[in-house]
Amino acid sequence: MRSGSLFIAAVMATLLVACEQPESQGHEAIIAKDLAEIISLQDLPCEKVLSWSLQHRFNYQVVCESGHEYVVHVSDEGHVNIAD
Amino acid sequence: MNLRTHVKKITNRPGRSAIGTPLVEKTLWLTKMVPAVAVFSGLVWMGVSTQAHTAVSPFSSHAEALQQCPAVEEEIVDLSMLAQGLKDSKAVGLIEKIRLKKAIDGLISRFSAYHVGDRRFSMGELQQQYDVLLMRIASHLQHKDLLLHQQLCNAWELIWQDLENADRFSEKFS
Repeated sequence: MRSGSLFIAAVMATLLVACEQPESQGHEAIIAKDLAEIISLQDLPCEKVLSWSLQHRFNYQVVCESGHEYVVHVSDEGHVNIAD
Repeated sequence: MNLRTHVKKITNRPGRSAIGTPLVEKTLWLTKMVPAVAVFSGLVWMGVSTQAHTAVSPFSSHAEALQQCPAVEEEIVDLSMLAQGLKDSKAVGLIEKIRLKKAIDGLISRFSAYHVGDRRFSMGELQQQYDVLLMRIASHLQHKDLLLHQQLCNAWELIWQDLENADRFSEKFS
């Protein structure tokens, strides 16, 4: 019974994910979407990225639709850090 | 007649010692200075152009970050091992696992297209897409699955080299 429910949940999740992020997306949109997720994973407000710019490799300046601005960068130890 | 020939002709005139006259001294000085100025200008131009290239292209230098990844006993050596690690990790939820798998597959297909001549994305853009996807994965792992995060840190450049190099890419992904 439990495995049946899990199977249905997995199928629904797969269908849900399959419907999003079409491969026709351009470069700007691909990066913007990932940056928005990186920021929200650290519980910072940014539902949608309005614009972003690459400062140098592993360092992005991001402006969110909400008006918040962040610098997203990777440390020497591979940690993703976000500064206001 | 070039400048050196002209100077030689002046100095070789009989009964007249041209060396020492102000005009000839200036002319000789110029002949010595022209190559030096040319070399100096070349060096300055090269310096400026290198500086401009560094400023414009963020992809020219090797990764400045990731220099102190913690050592790990078992290393991840390719993207399929990373994908398997994500699949087994308890740090990532089911839906997120599926989304990340789809994102990884999408990235591989874009590199695959690039290596067969499709230039919809440049290599620089693909590197950004790769880096940001790995930043997204690292964000999931860095506080919840330290081992996989450390493995990811160590494998970051290695996987990039597999994707960037056409031969290595076809060896790994065909």
